[in-house]
Amino acid sequence: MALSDDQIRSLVRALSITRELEIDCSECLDLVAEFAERELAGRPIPDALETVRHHLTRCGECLEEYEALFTALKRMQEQKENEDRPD
Amino acid sequence: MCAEPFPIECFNYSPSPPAAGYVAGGKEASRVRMNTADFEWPRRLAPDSPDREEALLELRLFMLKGVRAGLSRGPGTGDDFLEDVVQTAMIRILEHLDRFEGRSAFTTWAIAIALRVAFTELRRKHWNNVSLDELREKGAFLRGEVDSGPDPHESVARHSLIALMRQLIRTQLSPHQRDMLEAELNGMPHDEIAVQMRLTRNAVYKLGHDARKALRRALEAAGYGVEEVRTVLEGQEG
Repeated sequence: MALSDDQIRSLVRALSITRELEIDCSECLDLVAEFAERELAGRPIPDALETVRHHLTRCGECLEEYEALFTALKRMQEQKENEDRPD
Repeated sequence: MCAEPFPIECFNYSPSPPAAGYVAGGKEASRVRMNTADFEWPRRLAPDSPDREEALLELRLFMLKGVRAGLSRGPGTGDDFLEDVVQTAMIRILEHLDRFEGRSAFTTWAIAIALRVAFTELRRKHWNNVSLDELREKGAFLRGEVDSGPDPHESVARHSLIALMRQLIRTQLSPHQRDMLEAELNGMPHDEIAVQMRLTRNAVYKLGHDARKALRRALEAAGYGVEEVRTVLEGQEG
């Protein structure tokens, strides 16, 4: 096998953030709803949820899904605030 | 009016008073946040619940709203697609109600599942006609300077580290691990790699994780720290 130099660089970047223990995509899905709510509310992320942040730096698919979830929550929150606003 | 400090939880439907005997707390501090509505959803969705039909309808509408808000209106994301996504997500949610731990609003958890279903399907459609073998045959894995020798503008250190990385990839990884990394580095999503390698997405992630750990260890055994290698390869040395 032979990867391009750019691909080798990408791989080394991935190695540099590799941890001995990482959560997988199912574990990420179990936790990402809480992570998104906390991020949206600007609340601190506890140590247990830092594993989600790390997974999102490594997994493009989970990152894409998280970003969509965050967008959805934000839009729905804005919509709710608009509905609740007195005329 | 929602009295919760976190507005997102206001989206929850709260059909009845808190269940008697429910004590918030436990190991996970965040479980304390589980409000009445979150607690009620699994009960209302249970097969023997008299509220099941109503709860299913509410959850379906909620997921439709959430998935529509989360997806940009790209090709292939019309109403039929959204309905299919929500239908599939609903089945998964009903099968895995016990996985909801009250860490978040129930509806946020449900929308997260629905979005995973949606993106998995969109990726499957996008990569439908591209196989690992085709990528290999087209030489996508062989781009670059395989036998080109050192670039005169490239430092000797950089060139030798790239050669070392190629050697470690060849000697330290299993064929499965190499295939996975090749596909990933060529932009193929884990969902699609999983389909083509007949694995689960979790197994693909683990394969990649094990490969990365093996390469890290091999680099260290060869006397190199990963950060040092990264710095040199990205041209920041000196």
